[in-house]
Amino acid sequence: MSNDSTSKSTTRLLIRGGMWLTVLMAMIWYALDTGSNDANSGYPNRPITLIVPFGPGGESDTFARMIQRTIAENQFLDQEIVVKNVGGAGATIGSGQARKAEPDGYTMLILHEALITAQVSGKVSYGPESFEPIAASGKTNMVIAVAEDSPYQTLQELMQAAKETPNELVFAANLGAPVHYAGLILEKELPGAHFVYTQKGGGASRFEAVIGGHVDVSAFSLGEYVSFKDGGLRAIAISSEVRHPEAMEIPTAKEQGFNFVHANMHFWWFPKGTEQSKIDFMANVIRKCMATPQVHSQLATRLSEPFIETGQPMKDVLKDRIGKIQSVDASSPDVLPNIPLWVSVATALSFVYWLLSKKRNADPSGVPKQPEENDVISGRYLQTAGLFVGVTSLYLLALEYLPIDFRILTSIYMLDVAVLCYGLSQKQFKRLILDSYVPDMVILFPLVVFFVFQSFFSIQLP
Amino acid sequence: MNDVIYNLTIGDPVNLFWVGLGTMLGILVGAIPGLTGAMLIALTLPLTYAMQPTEAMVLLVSMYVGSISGGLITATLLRMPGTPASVITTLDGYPMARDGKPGRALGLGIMSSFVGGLISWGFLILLAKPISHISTELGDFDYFALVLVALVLIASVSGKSLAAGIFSGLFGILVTIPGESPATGVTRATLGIEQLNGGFDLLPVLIGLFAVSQVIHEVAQKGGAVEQVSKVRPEGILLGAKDWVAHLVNMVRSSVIGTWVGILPGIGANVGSVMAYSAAKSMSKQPEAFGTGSEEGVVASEAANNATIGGALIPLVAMGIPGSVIDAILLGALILHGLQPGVLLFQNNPDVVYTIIFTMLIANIAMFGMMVLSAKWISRLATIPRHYLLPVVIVFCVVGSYALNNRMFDVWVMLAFGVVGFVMERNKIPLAPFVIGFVLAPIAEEKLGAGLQASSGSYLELVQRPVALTFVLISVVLVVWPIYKSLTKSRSITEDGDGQAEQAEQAEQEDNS
Repeated sequence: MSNDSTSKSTTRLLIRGGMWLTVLMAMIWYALDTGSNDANSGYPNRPITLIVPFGPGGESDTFARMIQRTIAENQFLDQEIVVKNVGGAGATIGSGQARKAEPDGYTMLILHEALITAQVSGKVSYGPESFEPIAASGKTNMVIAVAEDSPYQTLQELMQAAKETPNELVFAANLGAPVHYAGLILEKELPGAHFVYTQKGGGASRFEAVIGGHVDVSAFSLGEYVSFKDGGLRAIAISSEVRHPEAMEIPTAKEQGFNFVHANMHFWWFPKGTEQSKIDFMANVIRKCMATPQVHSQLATRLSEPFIETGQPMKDVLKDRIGKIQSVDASSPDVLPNIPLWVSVATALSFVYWLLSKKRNADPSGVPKQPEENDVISGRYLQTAGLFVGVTSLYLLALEYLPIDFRILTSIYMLDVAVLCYGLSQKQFKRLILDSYVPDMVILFPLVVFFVFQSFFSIQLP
Repeated sequence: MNDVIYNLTIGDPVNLFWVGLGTMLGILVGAIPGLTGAMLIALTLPLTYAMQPTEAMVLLVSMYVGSISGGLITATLLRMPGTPASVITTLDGYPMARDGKPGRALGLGIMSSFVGGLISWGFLILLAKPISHISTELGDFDYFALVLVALVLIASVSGKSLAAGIFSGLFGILVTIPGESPATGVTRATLGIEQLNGGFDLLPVLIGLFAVSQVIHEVAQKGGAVEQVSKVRPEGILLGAKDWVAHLVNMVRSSVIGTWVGILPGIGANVGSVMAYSAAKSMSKQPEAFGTGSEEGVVASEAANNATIGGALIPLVAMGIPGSVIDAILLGALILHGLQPGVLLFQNNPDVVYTIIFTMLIANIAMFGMMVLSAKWISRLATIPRHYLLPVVIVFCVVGSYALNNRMFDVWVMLAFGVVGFVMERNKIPLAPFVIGFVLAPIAEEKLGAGLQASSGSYLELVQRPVALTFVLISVVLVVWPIYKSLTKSRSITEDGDGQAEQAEQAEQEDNS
């Protein structure tokens, strides 16, 4: 028996030693790998966080990561740029986070006109005035397109129809977003013309609505149009000053008599109050990036121009866009039933119905009260459940507000949870610490998680 | 034809290596709650810039197949759906594992995943070209009516108590109200909390409801009888020909439903498994077994969620229209590598099209092999003592919820819905209707809104369009049928029988508390 326990403890020692050795070596390797580039006093002397207010994989994210890579490959910065995707609510979650960040030059936001449209449409109270613009980059023209078999051959014909029968032609939009405003700005060019706007979301859904004949017209980025057009889409106007070299067959809106000149571009922002020297520094870095052949060739595949504007000219561009967007009314007629009200009422009714049916099922049989022992167990069960939720809340609060490292907090929290699972008495605690792998796990696991997320997925943990 | 030549491209050892790597990573990430296939693929995408376009697509599509499949292991053994796609698998897979049949539950899941993938692959290669014409014919009201059918199916997955099921489903719909209105983009009911502008995200809510509530339950249970998942080692993962034949009809039906759901844009694998599950239940000889460890339930859910992969790839390669979040990222990958999906892709780059298509086939086979071989090993998670397992799981939940949008708010949402799920379970309110309502309500609202905006508020199209009318009629029948059935049933059953059922239910309640 003693033999058995000796061999058991030897095994444990071996496993433990192996685990620790592996982690130690990994940490040393990691430290050697990253330790080389600190010792720098000027700006920037630590990684810069770039907030992309959309999920990974979208247009903005792709653009941001292209710039991030170009900066790294050409060593335009001594420090890394870390892309942080904060998606949701028409980019307002991400922009809100950037707005509240320290204006120290270490948090940057990339966001197109949605920053302006979100404010104008009343989604959020803040807009460009809450930020310091750094640069405007990467211009993409818009294309007004109809289905291949649509009766409208020119923009003129379409707009005339919208004027003769206002609020009949349906325009597929993403309500409150830049595409919606593109339509509104276009219809302002011919007084009396009005489209009906319908919620269609992203480019692919708008495309499908157009070619399925469910809407009459929509706007697409040139890149989207080129990839969709073989599915049965026909462009009737492009929003550029002159015809685009890659799409010479599309007439401009301007040559058809409509002053609809419009391009989507990515704006770069710092939180309000960031020093001018840092703004200039970063503007210069982005300018250098946009001039590289890598960026040129990648933008060309998407039919975007390597446009870059900084300083006063950029502010003029911005002011022009804000003015145009503010000049139109994006409110749409209220045709929907009051869904929140109906759902709330229905939920409340069904809750009452459920309570009643529960009572009805329980009442007539008249079961005697459950034995007391059960009550005690049930009480202890709920107590532990409550304790667990409490401990977890404390852990989350600490993660959110205390300047303590994720790894340390998580170690403490994991130990708490393990103790809750194992038993709260002193004897049990002693056994847990001395006689199991829990201490090893509690220390090693947060390190591994931190390492995997930080370096492989490049997600900054709180 | 020439297809054979393109088939050879995928037979290249380099490509086979990427299939193996992608599928394995997909399975692992899929098995871990909080890490989704979409996340893995999005984060791998930048790493593929240096690769050949075909190699990149091989790697990414393999990850897709692996991640949708991997979720079933943890869903079955730990009741933690690794991905939203396997939520429905927990309903029957977990009870099976708990009743001492973990190997069989896994085996059924793996088998049906494989068959689901194969069948949808068949559809993919047959329909990729012609399908593009059909899907665009569906208008907003058609979509709305289609989703309506799925919503009223809530009634049929509500388990013992219809009242509890309806409440659960409506509660799920209620939770979708705060945030951006899907129909107008207007922010509503956020109570002034800016973080709530985007509403409750799917993943934190699901992780909370299914994983965290389970952790709370497990942690708290130490006083009473320990509900170990299963101490039985999973045996019999590889099923015999008899089982394949027995479940064939269900597998084919669920795969067809899954493929069809996959083709429709915006509806993901989770909806596919919900619809197949409901269909399987209503056609089953033992509908009452669903939710308590029904083999048919596991088969339906897993066949359908894997079938959505092939379905969703159809509009992607045929028209460049993504059928799901993951397909949207794959589309981004194609464009990044300078390839425009659509009719032109079939003409100019058939190698890429057929590489994508054949990757799905080979990744499916790889998935089957890997899952059969490694499920036993991964399933040992289930025999790890709770004081090791639970701290790890809860930290994964926290980190996974956080990593989704890089904000603590989602982690709080996760914890809150953990408590909600815990309370609901204690009161015997089923979770499945909640999930269905939560997932489908925004789609229904968006489509209805878009339809009404275009028709200036008229509902007439709902009965004028043949497709919409058909679906509306189906949903009416689905509402009326259970009521009619329960009325006739209560007439035929004597009071005695009713009383027995009640007593059984009460006894169970006592057991649990």
